[in-house]
Amino acid sequence: MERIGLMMKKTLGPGNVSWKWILLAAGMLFAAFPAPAGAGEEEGGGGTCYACHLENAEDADSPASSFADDIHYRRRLGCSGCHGGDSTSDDPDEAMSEEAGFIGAPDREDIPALCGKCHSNLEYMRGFNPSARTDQMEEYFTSVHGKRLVSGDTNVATCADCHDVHKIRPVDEPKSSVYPLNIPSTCGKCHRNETLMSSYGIPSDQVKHYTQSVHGKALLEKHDLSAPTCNDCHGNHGATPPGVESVAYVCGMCHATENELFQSGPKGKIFRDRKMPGCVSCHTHHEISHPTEKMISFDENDTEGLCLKCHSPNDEKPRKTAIAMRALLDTLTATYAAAEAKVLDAEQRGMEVSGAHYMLKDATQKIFQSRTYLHTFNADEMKPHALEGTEISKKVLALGEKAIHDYYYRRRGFAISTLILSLLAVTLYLKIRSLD
Amino acid sequence: MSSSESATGKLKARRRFLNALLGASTAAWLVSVFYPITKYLIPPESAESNVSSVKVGKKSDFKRDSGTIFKFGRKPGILLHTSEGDFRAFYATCTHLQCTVQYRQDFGMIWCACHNGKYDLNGVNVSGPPPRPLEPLQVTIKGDEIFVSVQA
Amino acid sequence: MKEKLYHWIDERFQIGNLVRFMQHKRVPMHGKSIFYYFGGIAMFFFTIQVISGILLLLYYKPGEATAYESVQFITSEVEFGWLVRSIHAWSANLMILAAFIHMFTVFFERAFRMPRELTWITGGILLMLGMGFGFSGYLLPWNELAYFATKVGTDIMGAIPLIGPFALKLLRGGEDVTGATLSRFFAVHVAVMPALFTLILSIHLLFVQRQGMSEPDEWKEIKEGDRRYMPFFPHFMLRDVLLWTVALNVLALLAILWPSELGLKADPFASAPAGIRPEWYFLFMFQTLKLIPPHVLFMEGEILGIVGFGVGAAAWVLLPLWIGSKVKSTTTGIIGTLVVLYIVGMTVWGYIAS
Repeated sequence: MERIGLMMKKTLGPGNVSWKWILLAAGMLFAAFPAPAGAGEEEGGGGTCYACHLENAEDADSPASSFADDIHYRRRLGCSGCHGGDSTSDDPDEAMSEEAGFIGAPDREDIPALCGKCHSNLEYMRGFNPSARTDQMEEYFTSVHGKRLVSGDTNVATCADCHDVHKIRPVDEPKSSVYPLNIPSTCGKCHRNETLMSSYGIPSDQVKHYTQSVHGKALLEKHDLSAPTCNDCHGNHGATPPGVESVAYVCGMCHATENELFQSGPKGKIFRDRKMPGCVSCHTHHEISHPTEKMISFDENDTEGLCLKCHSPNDEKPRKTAIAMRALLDTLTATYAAAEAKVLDAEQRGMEVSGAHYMLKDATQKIFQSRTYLHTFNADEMKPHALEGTEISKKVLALGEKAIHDYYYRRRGFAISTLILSLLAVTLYLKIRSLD
Repeated sequence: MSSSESATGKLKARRRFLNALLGASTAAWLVSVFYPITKYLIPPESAESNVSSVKVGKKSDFKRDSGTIFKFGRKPGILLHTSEGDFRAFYATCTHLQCTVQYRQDFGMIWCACHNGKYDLNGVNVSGPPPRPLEPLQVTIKGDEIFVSVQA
Repeated sequence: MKEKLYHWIDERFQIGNLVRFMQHKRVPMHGKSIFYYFGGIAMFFFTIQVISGILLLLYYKPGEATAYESVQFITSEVEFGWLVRSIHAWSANLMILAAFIHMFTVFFERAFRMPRELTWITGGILLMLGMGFGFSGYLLPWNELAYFATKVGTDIMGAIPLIGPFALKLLRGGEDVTGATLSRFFAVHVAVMPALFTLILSIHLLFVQRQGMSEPDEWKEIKEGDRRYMPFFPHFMLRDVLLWTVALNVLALLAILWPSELGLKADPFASAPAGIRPEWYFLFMFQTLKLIPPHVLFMEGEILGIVGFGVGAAAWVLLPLWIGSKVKSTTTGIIGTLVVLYIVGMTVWGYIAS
């Protein structure tokens, strides 16, 4: 066992001529005997390179110091796999000699291929994870980053820019640079850089906008890992802005009903025919905020209104539809707000209103539904949902009013009983006086 | 009539008045005590304090391959009748943002309209945003009737 | 008509004796007569407890899964349910308060001496039962606060030397506060204690009626003719009733302005919320136990405290048996003042500290 392990260390590295079958065997062995977490340097994948570099490390950020957290180190894959050289030699000159295949720090344009040596090799990767994907490099070369790299631009992101260099962690570890919560800042490393971005003629405020958007807040403030971050819309390795036609499908991954209603309604066909981008025309992209009713307006003075971006104020039929839908939603949200305020008021007076709270949730659901059916751009289809929500809100309002009425009723009741008790007390007092 | 006689008459009248007043205020007081007590004794409309079990309906009311939302206390529940004929029930509150889920016959899955979250027929979240499975409920069938209760 | 009815009853039950007794019963009138009323007020609150308790029983469902929900149901669904529950909670507190005042005035007036030793002892037992009522009733809504207060309270019992662990298990119906504890506390609160309390209260009242009101020491120097009395019926009785109406109104005011809250349902796996504090009448003991250092000489501090309270309570209840009837008024004055200062001081400290 010991000998096999040593042999594997020696021969590991896809640069070796006869590496294929050995790797297969090694991979299987690794899968069967995973390295214990925090294995010592003897056991780890670094060999003599790691030991020596760690000893001479200047700070905690040096390659060797940070490598212990790296997934490759944890899988006993050492320095020579990427850097070449002989990790078994004690002599630095020999270990880092050209004869031993030492390449030092790889050039930026070589990085994808270097990582791809293993990561695009299905048979090799399978040894570590039977369902490992191996299409990342392929995807990468279809991305804007990849295409530019091929054309000689070394400023674009390569594997190591997003995944880190010597501290590469799996995506499901919160400390990983590609963990969902960390993606915006990882992409932002370059995309927030104004000088760099302006040289490509693209804005550098996407991360800022995203952070303030409804998605950014859900992810970064509420820590809802399901909220979309950069790569959920742009792709991971094949990062590219979604095309005009595919925008609606990208959004529709989560906003399925909205997309379905939109596509099957009158608007969907118009947008498709004219090759206009769906969702983003109204909702924008990075700075998507929580949508409000104010977006539907035919009023020229309405700054938040969106209909007039395309329609002319004189389009009679759309104008009617917009006004009708807006009225339905306004009534619904106003009734809901009134009901909620009333219930809150009753609650602050110490009344029991848990039943009203339950119904309020129902009304919220109807508001969601009405807003969803807005995407039919057909007031008649939205109407039943909005009316139902208004009806529930009215009931809640009545419950809240009853609670507040009860509150005063209790006080009036108390006043009456006090009056009676006082009368009784006074007559008793007089009676006592008359007896003495 | 002498002055002392009129004085005793006045005294008597005063005493009678005082007794009457005492009687009246005692009676009023009794009403103010017994009114709330009587009201309290009348059972409220929903005569049960909590829901641990609900009769959802008859077996024949539910088609195969369908799902029905029902009120389980103060939360919505969903009763599934699978194509295999099983009855299953869950709290119908999506574990993502608390929307109410529904059964989608076309997918054969439980589905949340809000963000396209999907659960399988065991209530396990299989795709989309939901972070956790749906909370299961217990289904008991007595004769033709279906009861849903909290899981013990 | 009235006389006919009286004769009808008298013929059968010979109530003439009783009526004559009532007519002759008299209450001494002096500067401190007001204190004669507090026993009656405590009894009035007890009556309210019985009535409101029975009303609550109509809807309350003991049990881990139902207790909290049924109390929620009472306060939100049942008409005037909130009032009944708040009255029950407030009346309990006022009863204990009235009983404390009653006890200390009796102590300072030294009315526990011959021949009223047993009246004092039964009164002491009644107060302890009253506090037991409070402790067992506190858990019944099965909310977070009640759960943890009971956990802490019973934990203290568990520290009693020798019998502690056994007492703890007996009290909790197991190792921990669970649904089993709730069942036990319910049984004790609505069956065992009311029966015991009613029995001892009857004996206590019988003694009072048999011996009449205690007269103050100063009266020994006053000539018999100069002592002033008031007939018990109807004079004193009407004053009693007058006070009760005032007490009832205070009760209603408290119940309406500060209705009992329910809070969150008890969750044995949740961490204890901040500011767990027992009811005010246990606070002086709670605070003392907190202040005692962990080790005093050869004893554990907590055990010392508990043993101390046990001995102290026993000594207080059995006071007339060891202090003797010839005890000087300065001695009782000093003892009483120290005890009152200690209880009040510790209670205030307990409130400030938490």
